[in-house]
Amino acid sequence: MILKILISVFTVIVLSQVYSNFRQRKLNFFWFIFWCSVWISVEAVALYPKLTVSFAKLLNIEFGINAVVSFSVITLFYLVFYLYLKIEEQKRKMSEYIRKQAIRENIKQNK
Amino acid sequence: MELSKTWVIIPAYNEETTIGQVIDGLLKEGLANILVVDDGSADRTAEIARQKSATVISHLVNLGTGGAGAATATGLDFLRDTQLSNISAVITCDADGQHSAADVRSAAEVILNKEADLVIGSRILENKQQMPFVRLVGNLLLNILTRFFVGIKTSDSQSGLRALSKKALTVMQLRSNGVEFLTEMFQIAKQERLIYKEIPIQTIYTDYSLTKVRDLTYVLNVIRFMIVGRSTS
Repeated sequence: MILKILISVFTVIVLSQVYSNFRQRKLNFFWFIFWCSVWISVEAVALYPKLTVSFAKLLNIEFGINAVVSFSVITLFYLVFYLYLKIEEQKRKMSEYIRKQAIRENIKQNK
Repeated sequence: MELSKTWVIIPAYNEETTIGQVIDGLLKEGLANILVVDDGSADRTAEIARQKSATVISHLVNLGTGGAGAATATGLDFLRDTQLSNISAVITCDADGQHSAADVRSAAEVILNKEADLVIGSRILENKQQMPFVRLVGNLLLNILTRFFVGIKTSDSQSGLRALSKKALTVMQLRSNGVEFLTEMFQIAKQERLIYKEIPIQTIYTDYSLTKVRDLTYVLNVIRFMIVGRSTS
C-alpha cells in the first residue's frame, strides 16, 4: 500500500513536470504524448499489479513484482527523461546558433 | 491590397527540381517578396533561388530532419528582425510545388483583410478526396490529438500553407526543428489568443511531391515520434 502511494505521488509529480515542460514548449507534442503514456502505464501497474501477472502469463514467463526492481526501473525511467530534456536543450542551443549565424551571414552579405 | 508588404517564406531542402517553378508562380501572382530558407541543401536549391531574385538564407547544415521547422523558424526570425515595420502578412508554403500560387495569394488576402491572425490552407476542407487515404487517416488522428491537447479544432493540422499577420509574426517564436513545428504554431496561437481561420486549398500531388514525402514513411515517422522520438535530428 505504501509503495502504491509513493509511486502515485511520484507519478503525479513527474506528470506535472511533463505538462509544465510541454506548456513552456521545452517538450514537443509527440514527446509529451510519449511520456504521458509511459507514466500513466507506471501508475496503472502500481495500482493494479495484476496487470503484470496477466502480461507475464501472456508471455509465458513466471515472475512477480519485486519492490527493488520496480524502484530501479522507475528511477531509470526518470533518469532517461532527465537526460532527454538535457539533450533536447543542447540540440536547441546548437540549432539556435546555426540559425542565427545564417541570418547574420545574410545581413552581412547585403550590407 | 498591400501585396508589397507581404512576404512568402519557402523552407527548402534539396528542392532544385521545383524551387524555380514555385518562385515563378508566386511572382506571377504579384508576390515579389520571397524568402527561401535553404536548410543545408546539398544541391543547387539556393543558387536557383538567387537566380530568380529571391532572398536566400542558408543553414550551414540540415537542421530539420523530417520537417521544415528549423527553416521556417529562421525565416520568421529574419523577417521579425529586419522587416517588421514593413510587413502586413507572412505566408509559408512548401518548396515541392504542392501548393498553388493562387492559394498562397488567397491566404495573404485573408490576413490583409484583417479577418484573422493565423490562416491555415486546408487540403481537406473541400477536397478531401484528393488526399491519399493513408495520409488522410494520419492527418485525422493528428487533428484529434491537436484538438484534445492544444484546444484548437482544425481540419488539417499538417498543412504547410500558413499565413500570419504582423501580430502573429511578433509572437511566433518557434523552437521545433522538425515536423512538430506545425503543432507548435497551434500552441502559440492558442496561448496568444490569435484569431484562427481556415481556407480551402487545392493540393497538387505530383509524382515528385509524393516521392518527397512517402505516405508510409510519414506515418511511421509520426508513430516513431510518439514512441521513441526523433533519433536523427
